[in-house]
Amino acid sequence: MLKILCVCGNGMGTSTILKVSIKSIMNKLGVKAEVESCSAGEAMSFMPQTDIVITTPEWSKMINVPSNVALVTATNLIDAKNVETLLVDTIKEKFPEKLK
Amino acid sequence: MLKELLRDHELIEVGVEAKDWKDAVKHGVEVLANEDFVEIKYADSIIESTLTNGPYYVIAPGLALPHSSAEDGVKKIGLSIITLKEPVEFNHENDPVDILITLSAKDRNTHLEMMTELVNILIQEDFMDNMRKCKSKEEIREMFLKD
Repeated sequence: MLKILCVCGNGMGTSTILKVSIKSIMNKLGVKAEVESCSAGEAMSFMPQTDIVITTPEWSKMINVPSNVALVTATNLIDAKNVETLLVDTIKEKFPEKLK
Repeated sequence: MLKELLRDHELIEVGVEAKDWKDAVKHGVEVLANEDFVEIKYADSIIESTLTNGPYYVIAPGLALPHSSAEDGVKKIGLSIITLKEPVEFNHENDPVDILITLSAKDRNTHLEMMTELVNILIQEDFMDNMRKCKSKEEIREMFLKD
């Protein structure tokens, strides 16, 4: 199970959008994933249960991500192809065993 | 839920004139306020939050989803859709912005359903470009209502 955390300012708007689109991307790819969303302030407490953090450029600068967690930064959140490519590249690099 | 919302309320405006991003945010909130989803002061809360945290809700080229945390004048969950006559700058990589979908949300779980529907519509290929071609709110409404 891959654990993905979507982060934005208040954990309601942007991160929810990411959560929804990532869930559908993971389904399509057949990757088992647990997708959560939270605010930047809450992000640290989620790190122990997170493999990949995905967020926008504003927040990626502000979140301290441990070395075992991959950080993905997306600018266009509704471009599903782009988000998919970013995620697939990261999974291939850091968690290749999850992509079957 | 999103379809019912857009069918039963007047939440869409086309060709809105806004002189800057703050003005655009106010117009988006006004549409929500006219249908009693928020109090007009919700606009101040979004503007304040934007000045503090940046316009991180500009989530795609030309598209902003202004919103703020729950307590600041939100009455019920909803959203308004406005397209601008002339785009405005939010000082974000995805500038200039000509579509604003202003969100009023009570908490993150109740609006998940609405957001899921919204995202699944927006991620359709060419949806945004087709939206920009709409000349009336009825055309936009139809785009959102059809499956």
